Amino acid sequence: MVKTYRSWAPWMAILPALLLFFVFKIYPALGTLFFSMTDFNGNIDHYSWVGLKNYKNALTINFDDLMNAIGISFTFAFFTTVIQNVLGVALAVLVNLKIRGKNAYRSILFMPNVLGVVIIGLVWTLIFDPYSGPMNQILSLFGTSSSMLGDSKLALPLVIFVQVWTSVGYAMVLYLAGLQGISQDIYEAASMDGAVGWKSFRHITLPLLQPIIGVNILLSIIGSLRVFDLIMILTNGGPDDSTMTLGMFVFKTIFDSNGTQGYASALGIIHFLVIAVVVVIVQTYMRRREEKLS
Amino acid sequence: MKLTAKLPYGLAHVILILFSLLMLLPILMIVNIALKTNTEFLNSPMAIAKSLNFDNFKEAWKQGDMVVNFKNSLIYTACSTVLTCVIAALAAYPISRKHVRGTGFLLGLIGITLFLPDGIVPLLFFMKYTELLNTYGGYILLSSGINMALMVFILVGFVKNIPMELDEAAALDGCGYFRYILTIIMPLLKPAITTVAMLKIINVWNDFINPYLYLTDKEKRPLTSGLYLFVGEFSTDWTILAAGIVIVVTPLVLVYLFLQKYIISGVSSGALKG
Amino acid sequence: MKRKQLASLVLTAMISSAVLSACGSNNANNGNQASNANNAAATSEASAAPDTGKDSGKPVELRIINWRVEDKAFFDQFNAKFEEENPNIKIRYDATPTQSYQQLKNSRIAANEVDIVAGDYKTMNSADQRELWMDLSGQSFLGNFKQDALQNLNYDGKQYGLPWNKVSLVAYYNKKIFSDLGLQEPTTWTEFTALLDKIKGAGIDPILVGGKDGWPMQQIVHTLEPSIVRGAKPDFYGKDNANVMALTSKFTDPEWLEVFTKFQTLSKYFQKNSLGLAYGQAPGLFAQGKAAMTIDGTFSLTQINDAKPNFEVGTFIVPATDDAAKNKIGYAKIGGAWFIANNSPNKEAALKYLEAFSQKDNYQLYIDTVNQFPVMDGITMKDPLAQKINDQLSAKDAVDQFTNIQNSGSTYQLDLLIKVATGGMKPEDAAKQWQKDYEDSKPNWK
Repeated sequence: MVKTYRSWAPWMAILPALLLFFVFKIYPALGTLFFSMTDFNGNIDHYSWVGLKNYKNALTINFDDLMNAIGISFTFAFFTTVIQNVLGVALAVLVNLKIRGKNAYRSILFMPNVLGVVIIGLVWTLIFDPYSGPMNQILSLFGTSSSMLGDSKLALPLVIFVQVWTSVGYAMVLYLAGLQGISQDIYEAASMDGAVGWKSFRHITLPLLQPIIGVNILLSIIGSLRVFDLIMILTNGGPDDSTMTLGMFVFKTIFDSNGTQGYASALGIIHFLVIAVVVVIVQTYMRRREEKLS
Repeated sequence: MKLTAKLPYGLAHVILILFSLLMLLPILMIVNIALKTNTEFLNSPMAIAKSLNFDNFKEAWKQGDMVVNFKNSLIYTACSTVLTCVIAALAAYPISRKHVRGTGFLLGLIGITLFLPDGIVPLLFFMKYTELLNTYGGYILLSSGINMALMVFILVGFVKNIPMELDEAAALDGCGYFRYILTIIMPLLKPAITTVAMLKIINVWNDFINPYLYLTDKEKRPLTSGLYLFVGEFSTDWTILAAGIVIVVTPLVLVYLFLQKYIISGVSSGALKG
Repeated sequence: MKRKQLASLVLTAMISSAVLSACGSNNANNGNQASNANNAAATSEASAAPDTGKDSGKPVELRIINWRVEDKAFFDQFNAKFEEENPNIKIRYDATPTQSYQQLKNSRIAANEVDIVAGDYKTMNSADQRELWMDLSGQSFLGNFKQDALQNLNYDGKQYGLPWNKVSLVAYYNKKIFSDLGLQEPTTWTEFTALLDKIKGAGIDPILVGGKDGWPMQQIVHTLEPSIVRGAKPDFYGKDNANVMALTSKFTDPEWLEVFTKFQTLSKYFQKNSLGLAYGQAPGLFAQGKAAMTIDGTFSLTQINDAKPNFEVGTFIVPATDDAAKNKIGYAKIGGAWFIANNSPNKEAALKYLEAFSQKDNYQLYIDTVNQFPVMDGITMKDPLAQKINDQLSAKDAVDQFTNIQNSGSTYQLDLLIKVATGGMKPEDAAKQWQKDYEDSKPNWK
């Protein structure tokens, strides 16, 4: 391309965003990194440098808990990401059809996102209530019952369900925007060649949607690995630590009478590193795939 | 041809109706609870309200100082949404087109920003010593900045779909860089930007904890902080909370319904041109 | 199009400059920061010599944070009254729910943006935490409070917190079910378990527990522990838990084993799926007559009353042993307390606020509005059932030492208790596990 703009112009365009990144994300994270090597406990006039002691403690005293939390985080992230994206694409394709009431469907499916996590958590707590909640009334029709979020085998699947319920509309909207970016001409041309229905979806829609799928998967993975607020309200990590994801684990440390803020910061950094490793692996895999396809 | 096309449409309706019910029922449940008296709720939380009881709404509106807070919510949401959309679009274009050196690094930086650990204490220090703490401007900047990365990240993907030829044509016309992004690229990104705007609106409107951390004056708090008053240490005042939720969420639903139309009109006008 | 474009450009310029100037003023404000520090130093000197009191006329903003959002009615009234009496003081009072409170507290303290902080024993259970708070010893308003309540917030002779109220656990029971079955309030453990069997035999759930949130289970252990452990060995824990830390008293000792065993016995009488019931639902269900009893905090009284039960509610304190003398030792803990930040530049105003809170008429208003149990002599409760519980509690030597024990994590007991309750773990193993977890946490002891 012919270069017609001044060389500083693109930088000027990026600058405001960069400044906001720095001030509101990078600088606070660096602050956390700093505190993670101190015994900071709220008193800014009085804390001392402890080096890597907090990290050492996390990887020795709390090792089992930490590994348990990482395992649960991975299970949670895997299922949420897969279900959410498969459903997201499917629903986006359906509401992109020229069918009656598609606007109503779109609005309704996205609705849970409007509520906000705190509200969603409270609502589903009521629904899963084993005494008077509608869920157990349905189960009692089949002659069974369950303590729902209080059952250590069932709690994680239920939390995954609520997370998918919340975010599938979000994924759908992003996919929908992607679908609408695909020109109708391509489909018309393809239908002349006999590519309709599943075939056109498989050979036209999916490949053209690839960049959006990449973005969406990455966002779901990051979102589900970070999650703690929803779990905090639904199960608070229990029962028996069965929903203690890494995010929840870090959050709980802040409450712990012994966990200093320095220690909580170290766990925060470990949480970050775990996500970073996962993201790098997924990213590399997807980039290779994209290169193969293009 | 017509017949074969109709069958899957019927199936599509069935699936969509099932999913819609799944999404709607819990929400209707809140409305139902909002219409109950506290005694009625404690005795049978799920039964359909016996009569329409609007006292909870009155109570939530009054106790939650919602008049003042409503205005604040509007200011925060409107300003940070506009800010976010403009800044994110400005940044997304050069990054997506690789107009600066080190876009790989920048993308990596943006990616990392998506999951960097929070640092409330350092940020609070910054806000305090720049005197942004407890100001409208400070809170708007904060809510724009806090997930700017996500917004840029989404837009970068969509800019790729805009044909490069357009850039060259504009260059031949002698169109300035900023002017080009703001007047040509942004309108083309309409569906994507509307999506980003919607996410941002929801995000700022629903923020529960940040207003408490960064706005120390009650008079400057947004609508959601009123909701907090009903979640107690040992007991939650469900009926009033539900009414509060309805009050807080209704404007968002309306905005969403409005933007939804806008997304569609943007797309259909694009189709007409083609 | 032109106008739109211009507006966008102006906006961008504004943001860039706003962000830039924000960064720039960081340096400019360093001077300000230094002068703030000077101010703080000056005021701390002033408070060291409290007789000066000359600048009490200058306007002060008193910043208070609390997690008791449900006490809004009282604080709205009290704060307005306080502002009226002290025209130079403006109150900025904030309450967030428990779940977000810790974040709010940590950040406000670190940024020195708070004067009075709501807390409890956890707020002062390590040396560097205690450093954050002003020593209230010697303040005349402390005299109004009960000694044992103050003792709970005292460490090494220094009074850090000002107690609000006390909370305890009682068994609420359905008088109709009790009289139908010919039952009476039990006074010993044997009577209690016999009563539970009888209720269960009649096909009624004996005890309703909202176990999903975990801590209600913990509360039941709290009610059993004092009579059993401290009834047998008054000095089991030692001063500031010295015996437990020196491992001369262990959780595997027969006393604690008895607590776990009795907890498991009780758990057999909980309603089905008790681990899934959200805590907040339990009082309402009890009021509907779904179970004969619920073991719950004194704080749930309001909720039970709100659900308007169509039977009379009675209360008794669970007898944990067969020995009347041991049963006299009960459980009560401080529901919350005020702390004054050591770095606060407004200590004088903060003390005034606590003094006003401690005045008998104000405190009576507090107890009346929030319906919690008083820690001051001569305070009455409006609700007759509450007054009855208050009398029952006052007849006990209530102490709360168990919750002060340093531990490795707030979740440990819960997991164990849940396992014990579901029958998945023997009480002996739970005791062993707890002792092990406790010893493992040694590097964190302070």
